[in-house]
Amino acid sequence: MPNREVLYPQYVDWLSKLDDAGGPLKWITKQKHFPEHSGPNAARYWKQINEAVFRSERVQLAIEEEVIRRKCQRVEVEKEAHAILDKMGHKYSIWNVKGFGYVVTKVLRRLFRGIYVNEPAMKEILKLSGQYPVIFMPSHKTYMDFILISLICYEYDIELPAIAAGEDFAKMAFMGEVLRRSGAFFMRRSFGKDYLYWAIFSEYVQQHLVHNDRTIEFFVEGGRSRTGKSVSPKYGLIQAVLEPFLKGDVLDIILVPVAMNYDKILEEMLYAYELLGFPKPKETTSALLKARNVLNRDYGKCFVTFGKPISARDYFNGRIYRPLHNLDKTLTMEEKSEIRRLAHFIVKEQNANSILTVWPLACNLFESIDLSEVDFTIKLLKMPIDKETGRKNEGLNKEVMGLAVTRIAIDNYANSMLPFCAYEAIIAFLMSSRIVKNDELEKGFLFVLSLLNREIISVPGEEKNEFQKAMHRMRAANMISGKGDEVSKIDEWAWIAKLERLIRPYMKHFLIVINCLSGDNEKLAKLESTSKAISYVQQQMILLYEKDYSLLDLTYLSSDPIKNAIQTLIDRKILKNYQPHPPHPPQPQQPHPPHPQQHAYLQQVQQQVLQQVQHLKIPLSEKTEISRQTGNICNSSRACSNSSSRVCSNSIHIL
Amino acid sequence: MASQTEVLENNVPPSYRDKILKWNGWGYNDSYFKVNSDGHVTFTGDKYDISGKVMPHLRPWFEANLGVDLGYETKSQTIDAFVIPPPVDNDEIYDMLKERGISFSNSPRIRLMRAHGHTVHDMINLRHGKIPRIPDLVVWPKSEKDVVSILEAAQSAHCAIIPIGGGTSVSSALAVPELEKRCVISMDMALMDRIIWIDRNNLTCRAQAGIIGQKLERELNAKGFTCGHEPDSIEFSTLGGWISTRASGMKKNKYGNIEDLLVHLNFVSTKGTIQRQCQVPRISAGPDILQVILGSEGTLGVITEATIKIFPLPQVKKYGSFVFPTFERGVEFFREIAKLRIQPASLRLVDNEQFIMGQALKTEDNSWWHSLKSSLSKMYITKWKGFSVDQMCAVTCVYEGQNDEVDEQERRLNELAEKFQGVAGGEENGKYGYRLTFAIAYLRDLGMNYGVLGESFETSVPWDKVLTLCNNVKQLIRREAKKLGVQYPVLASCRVTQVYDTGACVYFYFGFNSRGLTNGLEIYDKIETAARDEIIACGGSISHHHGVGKLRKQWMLSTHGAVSIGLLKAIKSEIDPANVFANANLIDIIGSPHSKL
Repeated sequence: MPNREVLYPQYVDWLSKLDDAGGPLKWITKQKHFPEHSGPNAARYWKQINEAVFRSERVQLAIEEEVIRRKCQRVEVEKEAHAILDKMGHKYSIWNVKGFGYVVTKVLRRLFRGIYVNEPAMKEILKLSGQYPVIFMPSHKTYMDFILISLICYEYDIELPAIAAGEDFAKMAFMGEVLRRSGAFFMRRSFGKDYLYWAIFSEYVQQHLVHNDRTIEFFVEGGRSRTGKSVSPKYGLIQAVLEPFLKGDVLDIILVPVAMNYDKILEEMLYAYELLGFPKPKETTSALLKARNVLNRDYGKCFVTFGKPISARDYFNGRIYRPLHNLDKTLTMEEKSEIRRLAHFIVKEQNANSILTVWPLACNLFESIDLSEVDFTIKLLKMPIDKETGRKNEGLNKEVMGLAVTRIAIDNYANSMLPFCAYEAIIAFLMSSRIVKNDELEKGFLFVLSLLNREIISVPGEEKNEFQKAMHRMRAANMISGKGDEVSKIDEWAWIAKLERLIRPYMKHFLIVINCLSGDNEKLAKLESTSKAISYVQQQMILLYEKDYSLLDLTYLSSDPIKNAIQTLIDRKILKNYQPHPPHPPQPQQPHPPHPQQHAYLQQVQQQVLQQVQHLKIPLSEKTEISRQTGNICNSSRACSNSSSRVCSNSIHIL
Repeated sequence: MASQTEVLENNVPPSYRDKILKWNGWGYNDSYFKVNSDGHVTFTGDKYDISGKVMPHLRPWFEANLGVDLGYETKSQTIDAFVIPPPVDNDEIYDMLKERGISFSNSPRIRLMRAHGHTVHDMINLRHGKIPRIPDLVVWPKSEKDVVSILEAAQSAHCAIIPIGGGTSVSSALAVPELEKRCVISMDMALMDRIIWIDRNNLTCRAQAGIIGQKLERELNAKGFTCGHEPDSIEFSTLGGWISTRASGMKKNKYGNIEDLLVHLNFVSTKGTIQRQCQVPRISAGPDILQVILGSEGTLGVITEATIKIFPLPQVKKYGSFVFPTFERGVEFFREIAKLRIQPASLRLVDNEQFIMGQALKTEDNSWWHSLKSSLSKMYITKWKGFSVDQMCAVTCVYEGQNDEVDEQERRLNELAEKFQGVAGGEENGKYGYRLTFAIAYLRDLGMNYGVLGESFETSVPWDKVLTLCNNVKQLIRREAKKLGVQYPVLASCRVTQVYDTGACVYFYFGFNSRGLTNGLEIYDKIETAARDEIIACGGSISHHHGVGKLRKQWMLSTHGAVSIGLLKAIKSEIDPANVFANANLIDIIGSPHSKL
């Protein structure tokens, strides 16, 4: 993937602009001229917006329906609607922004050595923002993301975004209010079947769009990525955002993918704990204050790259037929799938615009170093486990978990390299398995990609294209050459082997998850939720690890890839998702009836998957034999002893 | 003009079309905007109230809004330079027509005058290019009997027929399909222009289809009646043309559209004449064939006579106007009027662009806009009321009826306007508001002298979509124009020009300066197509009253669906299997030369 170079004048260090302006105070008190909007709509005050949302036909209709459904007084539902709006809505005012902004800029000045922004893009966005609703869609790895985007908008006179944030932020004393007054609005993590809430929420978002009151910012990944690489996008909000365009309520909507890249992330250790299953600390102000010690650290540089604005109109041109909505207001399946495709495309753009700093590269190298070598002196910290968490993650070996924390933290940084060469890595992985025929390579590529569709976010329908492009790049880089339909390695520098190492752990991990889940039927049946299934898998992994530490890498304990694997299995109808309702709540006395089907599926499809893998002749490690009788792929103790690959090295020899 | 070996004629009538109308522009020969020696725009002739007057704000308006430079002219070619293709030979038809005593001519200029309507394409072709295919022969029936007779002759001599009324079409409906190999007869209805009778008991009037709107109205007025149908083209368009395009009149709120006014008609087809046996206000006797003929755009046959409703002349006719702070408020006002059903005879809401454009037409001695600039009224509107000059817009209306009826209407409207922050603007301004309507086509000719391409188009749209449709389409026009390389300011303006219970008619003006573009007309097409697509995506229709012709055929299938189009085709093949009426409007017929199959 072609890399970006961070050069002036494309990138400008915002911190130096801040200094040039005479420091935070002078900067924030500068007179601001946000652009006049086209059309008759001047930006509205938040109270006007809330009032208009409440009065809208959609919300009034939803209230009516609620009244009928609940058989109650209208006032009651209206009161609830107002309460929802109050809880949801921002209370943006430029004065709050100036006040809050001063403190934040001061802090940023200390935390970072540089905040680089590609300035020319901002000028284009400024021009567009007066004409069309502009939606910022940043990649999301840290709280810092929305603070930075707002400050940068402020710098370039772009109307500050209304930011879709999780409701848990609103609960933070003081800080919640500060965010709200700087333009954040808050949404529940899930709406369930609360139609009133959904009506109010989508009306709220869409009013901002149609009136072009403010720019909007939301995270298509739905939340912060804990693993350093993109999370499979969520579709609900992007759908609500695009709806006004599809129904002809606005001429166009401009989506701006933004790549946020940091040398180091404030939440790095926190994420590592979370990924091991320790609950995420509540978003509290005191936690934020505790985070004050972060102030004394150096977080290096960060890079904010605003991608090429995507016009929804141009993007959907020829893909969808909008006049359908003259008769039926609901979105069609085709539209929904096009929107999903767009969501993936935006993630792809975020990745394409990412800046790869040296730190992830270092982490990657570091990982493949065999720490078991006697003369190797680096030690990874063993992190405390019980102290940091209120609740114990039961049944997990503390010792092992402690080892895993640092490992995962480093791994998360290394991950951010993956999008740059994921497709080449898959090909390298297949070629290392002595697959040389062009069509087999392609078949294998598609198969691997489909298994890892939550790890490597690609645009649906573009997979074959990506394969061709990756092949082309590898040929251009003199890694491979092709005669007829055969492909052969050139690879003087053993790049193939290095690339291959990026993918192998994911494949092996996937099979281990299958393996862990194909054990005890009764136990499986008791896993009522994905999170329970995840900790079950983690337990199983630790058991394996205790049996023989060479069987798996500790980074496998990270809940995110486990969740992804389980989700993929559910998507493929290999596992069945437990519907939490109905019945709700589940009766605790009555043990859940064993799910004969579930296991049967699992077995059956596992065979399928395994057969496919075998057909591709992918050696997960050279001597691993997959025993079909037990379905256990990790029972060979010699399994991984010789490979240089990350998976199989005895790498976690932490002293 | 190219030489033509032999001009064949028989008893050619002196026709207004050939005598007093422009060959390459809108309206009367003697009436046009021109720039006088002082650099001001004046209007020539003596037919209009602005004739002979100077409009000092018009040139600055053109310069500011369309980037017109008087030094850059794009004058029309002369008629002598215009190349007219020779007619397709068909000796048989000439003989047959002569035998039957029908007036005809194949003189090039007479054929040319009936070869086009008034789309921007037609105008550019006339001014700077040529028309690829024109009728080969013009005939003038004087009666329904003549029409039948011509039809027989045409069938027997294997000719095609395209009827023409006023020739004001803006849908390429009159264009002869380029691939038509047969001799094409233009059937000019101009001689069938009589009122046949007026029925004072039932308040109906029977007239021949070729009667021109202004003549019909003049003659009815003389007898104390009005037909109430007043399309913008009333000076030139005909009764038959109204019916065959489903026309709509300015005052439809009081009198109805053409389909509401029509009581009865005679329709001549190749299979015979369609004529219902009674002239009743309503009938329940199966699907209404009248509705098939209304809007058939000359594809099925010829309308020869029609009976329409008439009304006693109203006691009062009065204009009115309001100013609103924003277009949005104006639309809300209109919505409420429709809900309460208190619309006066005519009601129009013009956007800010058109408001200013209308003001630019004020004549020297009576410039409201000019005086407004310094006067108290402007102070009142902008300072006291806080209206912004580049946001405010105007409503103009026409009240017609009995004295007390009009007073009551006026009172209710004033009251309601106040609720939506409207300020009454007086009668004089109302009158001026309607001036733009007749002037716009003449204005286009002026613009064309300086490189401007302009057109108007309209749509019908449900209430909840009116505002977004207006905003989106205007924005889209500007965006597309810029994208396609237009280098000067673009005019995109609209008005809500009719209100209905469930929606409104929106009328757009669109124009740009094509200077510096090599393919201005192509760019124009792209923008118009994009605008129509956006209209449809915003819930609008392909047309409200301009019809389909050939210009909007591409949207017929998606508008009606395959089954309905099949039905229209079946009607066509039943009533005109040989495709004698070959103007190819509305739909493509399998087997006809213009069909893609």
